[in-house]
Amino acid sequence: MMKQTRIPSDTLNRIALLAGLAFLLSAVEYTIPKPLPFIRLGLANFPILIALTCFSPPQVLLLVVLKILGQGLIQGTLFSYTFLLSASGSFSSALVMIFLYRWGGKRISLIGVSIAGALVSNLIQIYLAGFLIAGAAVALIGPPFLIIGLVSSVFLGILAQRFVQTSRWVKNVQHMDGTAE
Amino acid sequence: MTKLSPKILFLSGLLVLPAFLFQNNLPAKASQTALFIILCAAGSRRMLILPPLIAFFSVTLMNLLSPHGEVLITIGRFPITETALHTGLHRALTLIGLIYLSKLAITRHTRLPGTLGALIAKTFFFFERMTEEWKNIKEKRLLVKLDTLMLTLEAAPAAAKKTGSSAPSSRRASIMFALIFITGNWLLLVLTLAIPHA
Repeated sequence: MMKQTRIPSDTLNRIALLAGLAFLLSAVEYTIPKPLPFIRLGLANFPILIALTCFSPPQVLLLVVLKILGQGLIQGTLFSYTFLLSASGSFSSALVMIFLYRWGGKRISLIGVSIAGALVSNLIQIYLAGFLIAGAAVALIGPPFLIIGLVSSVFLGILAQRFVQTSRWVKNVQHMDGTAE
Repeated sequence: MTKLSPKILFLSGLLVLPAFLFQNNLPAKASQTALFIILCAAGSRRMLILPPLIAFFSVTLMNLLSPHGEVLITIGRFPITETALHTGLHRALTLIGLIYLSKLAITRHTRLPGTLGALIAKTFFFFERMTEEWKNIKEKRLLVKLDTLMLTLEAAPAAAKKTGSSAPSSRRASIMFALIFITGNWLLLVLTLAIPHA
């Protein structure tokens, strides 16, 4: 018989709280002017990095779904290429980050996880941008896109690492959900 | 546009989407894009002019960098080719049009159905509380401030606000708008398919 795996309401509340933080950070990012609409600093990935240390992989993916849909609703891009690029980048990077965090153990810090996630997300987005929008000239926007992603992912990784080490909220969640290591 | 029903706006956007995506006639696509921008402006949605303009020119320029088709004009040693220009304009219009169609059809009052919709509503509740609480926390250190914010909000009752109910909407006006908007866009697609060189 299949075991039913319902997420407890407390955990759902915490996931919604982190998703709210992702909305806030994407609203902040939205106000920063960018030369192309799909170039991103990825500030909203900060809650995903935190979630890796607190929640199970399906719960992290639920957070990613909320983040993507919320960004689409806040920025009004749900029907646009921007949304498609964001969704594919977010999902691919989340899968890679979950894999590295779960199976990398202590050999990979959140900074490394953040860099790998950004790299995968940006490569997927560059490929799709080339296919849908920019054509072969995507080779020109690729390098700056990857460099911006690398710098911001290092910065976010450092912040996330420090937050996880010092945050009382993270400790509470890890203790309650039994994810403390 | 604020008085139109978010649900009907969302459905209208969804139904107009194929009529816009399948439109290959450049002037028709430009008209649709202009219509979406005008309707967004009329609905007093917050509009930034510069980012879409930069996006439009940069996408067109990027496509011109791969010359294809008959040379129309040469600027210095750089040839502007017909097919590359057509492809660039088509892609740029699609990008900008989709962004504005999206802005038009999706408001913050749009509520998605089901359990996921309820969870998104709860997330919006936390998002709004965060923007309010952030100013009230006196802590200067960013990460400590963030931690305090998370602890404060987790302790707060998580009453999900119904995002769909905050703006009163006129059902009749919404349906009228939807009918004209959907029919107009589909009619344009049918006309351009029936008379390809119009």
